[in-house]
Amino acid sequence: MTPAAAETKKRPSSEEVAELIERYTANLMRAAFSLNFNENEAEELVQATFCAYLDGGSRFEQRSRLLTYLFGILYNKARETRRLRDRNPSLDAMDADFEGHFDSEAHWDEPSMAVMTEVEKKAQSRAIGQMLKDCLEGLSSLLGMAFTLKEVERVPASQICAILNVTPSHLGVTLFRARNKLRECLAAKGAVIV
Amino acid sequence: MNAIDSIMGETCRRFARQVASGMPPLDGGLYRRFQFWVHWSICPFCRHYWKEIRVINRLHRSMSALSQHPAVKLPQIKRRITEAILKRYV
Repeated sequence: MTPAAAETKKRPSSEEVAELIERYTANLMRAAFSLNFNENEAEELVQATFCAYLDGGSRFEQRSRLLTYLFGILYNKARETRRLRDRNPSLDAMDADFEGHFDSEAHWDEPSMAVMTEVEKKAQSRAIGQMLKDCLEGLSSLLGMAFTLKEVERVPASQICAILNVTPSHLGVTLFRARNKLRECLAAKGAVIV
Repeated sequence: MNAIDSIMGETCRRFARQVASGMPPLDGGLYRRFQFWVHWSICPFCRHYWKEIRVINRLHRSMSALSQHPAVKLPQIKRRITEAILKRYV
């Protein structure tokens, strides 16, 4: 890139800025919410994401979609902000909970499944949405972001791997943990899922 | 092991891991997929689990809509961010 081109990149026109913000703000806000930022924090995070892109826009090599690139910036900014709070201490416990549902032949342990079903029947289904929100707050940034990118933003797995800097098998484990943690959390709250 | 044993050899744990990870099987191809759906058709617990995960996915999609955050006024947010960035860059 020539210096002139770089200079052009550093100083976007107001139309370019407006188009960038118009096109991507909603996606980035949703991603920020999935990381449990409140509205003010989410807005600041999205603004910081745009600033980081504009500061280093020449680094975007167009090997991926711009939205994917912006998700990557947002995720890293979120982790910088939340590094101290983003712990994931219960992964082993989560896996143990999952394993606890199966018998020695790896089939559902029927009493365990029956208990879950009975618990689920006690709750009102319309409350599940709020319960899910509460449960999402228990997910780490990695789990929450992976789940949101996959289910809400419908980003292909290969791009999620690039954004989160994980391998495909690690992404599978991450999604497995996110979904099971939400399922266990909803069951513990007595939600009727099905 | 005969063919029936092989097809019925899917375990609930493996099925559940497959469902929750949402990733295509790393090996096995069509046969593995066939085995997965045969197990789905014969195991009520796994069908229940499969439905639960689908509901959780769908619920997350609907709850993530910005309309679920009534205080969020997207046009105002866009305007504020645009103003801040234009002040800084243009």
